Amino acid sequence: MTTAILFGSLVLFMALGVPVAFAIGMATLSAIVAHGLPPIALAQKALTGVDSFSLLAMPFFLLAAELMTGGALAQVLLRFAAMFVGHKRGGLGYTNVLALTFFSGISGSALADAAGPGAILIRMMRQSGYPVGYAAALTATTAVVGPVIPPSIIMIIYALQDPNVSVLGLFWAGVVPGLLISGSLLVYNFWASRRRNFRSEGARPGGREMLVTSLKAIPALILPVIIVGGIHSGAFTPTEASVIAVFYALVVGKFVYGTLTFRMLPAILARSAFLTAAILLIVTLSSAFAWVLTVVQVPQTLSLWIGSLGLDPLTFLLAVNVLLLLFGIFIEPLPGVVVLVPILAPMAATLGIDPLHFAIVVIINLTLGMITPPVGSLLFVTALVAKIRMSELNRELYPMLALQILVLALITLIPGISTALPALLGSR
Amino acid sequence: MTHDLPGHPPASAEPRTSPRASVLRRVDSGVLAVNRALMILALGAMAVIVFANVALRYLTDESIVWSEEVARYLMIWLVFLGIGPVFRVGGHIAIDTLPEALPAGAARALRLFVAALIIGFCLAAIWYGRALVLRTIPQTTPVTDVSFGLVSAAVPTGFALAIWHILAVVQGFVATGTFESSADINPGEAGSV
Repeated sequence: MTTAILFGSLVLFMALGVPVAFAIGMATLSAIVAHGLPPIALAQKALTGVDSFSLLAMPFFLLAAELMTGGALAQVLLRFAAMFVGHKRGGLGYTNVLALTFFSGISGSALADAAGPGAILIRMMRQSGYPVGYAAALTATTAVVGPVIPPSIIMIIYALQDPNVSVLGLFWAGVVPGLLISGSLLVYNFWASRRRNFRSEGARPGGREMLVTSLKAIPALILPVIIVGGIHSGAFTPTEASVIAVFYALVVGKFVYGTLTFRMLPAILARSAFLTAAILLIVTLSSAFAWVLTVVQVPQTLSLWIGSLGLDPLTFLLAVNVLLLLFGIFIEPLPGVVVLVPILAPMAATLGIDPLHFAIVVIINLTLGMITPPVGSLLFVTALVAKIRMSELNRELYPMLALQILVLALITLIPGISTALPALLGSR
Repeated sequence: MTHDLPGHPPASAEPRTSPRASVLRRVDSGVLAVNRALMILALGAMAVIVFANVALRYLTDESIVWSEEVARYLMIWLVFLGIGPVFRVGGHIAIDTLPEALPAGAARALRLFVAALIIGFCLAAIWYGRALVLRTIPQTTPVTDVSFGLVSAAVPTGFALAIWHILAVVQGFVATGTFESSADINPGEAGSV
């Protein structure tokens, strides 16, 4: 009964148009009152839900990505990527995919990828005569690798919901699937460029120019190594790595590239603070939601039930994929992870599915929800920066989205794509 | 950079001339400016404190014992102080399929109901947050040894400020579903990861 109230009111409030954070809070409060629990627990869980040192990595990675964008690291990475592929047919398309993939090694969010280097690339592709819809759709789809390739904000939050995985394990697990997504888009761009006769960008640059561009790119390319390598070696925690990224971006932007000024800081901090508050309000209220779930033993009951069905793990994974893809049409990855993972992860574990494999499937699936028409935050942002209508973007998007669903199916069917690298490196 | 994106039209009512309204508007922009500055300071301080601790540990073998605790509490304050300012710019993601599908009049009625629900939730959060503060005042924080009430006060304070900010934009929200424009974030991108 309490469970019905919890989920029923959540769906009802969200459908009415109540902001997701408030809908989660209201549903939790309704269930607390209906179950006769002390309502003060809502305030208490809402407070302790963000009282976590590992969660600090979230605002810091967000801030680091904003500083990178403000400090023109995005442009440097872009020039570096263009050097290899710019002279080929459809060169800016390849550059787009490569630059966003590099940037994903610094940023932890799809949005940062689309709004940072993505925005610049859309402008360049438009000037070069590409259909803007194609440029925007390619950017939105490639931005999906932002939260899949480490660092990743959603992985930091996921690790809080499932005690069977660590942030480091998730980071490593995301590398190969992320590269697979990027690779599939390079192939798509190859095919589209031939078919639609996209142009190339002049000749391959000379050896001297390539050397200069590479040297300039080193500070930007080294950061992902510092982040993931530092965490892996045990030199620092994910939170410490994230704050090192912040100051690294600050120093490199200010003193190496000289494009970041201290006067830009308040605006950059304000933007990161606003995004942080919006994200963490959902996280913290959903920890109250998850607490009610545990009190009424929903995860336990469902795990027992799914175990008793004698279900094939693959059938379960496919069912979860269908459910989440439908869910993703309406719901962002963040509420998806905080509301559904506490329920689904124990069920998956009962069926013997590797927790890292399950996590990657859930994260990629829900992130694809950000580019599932008619609405999706990534579509919204890319349409905004490209200054085109959503319908123009969506037309070009469908084949790319279909391709990503194929990649997701592959990652679902072959656990090794996600689990081999973390197993090799010995992290869970 | 997303700061040069086209903003959304401001949803606040057209300038009024009555002196009381103008005083209220000035107070409101003061409240927003202070609130936003506190958010910037909280995030900046969090980064500096955690970084100083890491740097110190590597350079001198010393560490700041209170850094982790203070950074966590600053993050708590940041989240709750942010509820209102984020609402003003439409930064709390919502599914607006239903209100968009309804005829204008029905959509207005629905948004009025939604606004009432949100304010009602804020009031409940203030009430239970206040109870939490009273309960946690005698407790002290593990490292810094101050009253935990200083931390839990973030809940009622944040939701009380949120009501102020919600009321500042509620007219435009109910009438047309729009919010204030801001250089900080665009509605639709907040709450996204």
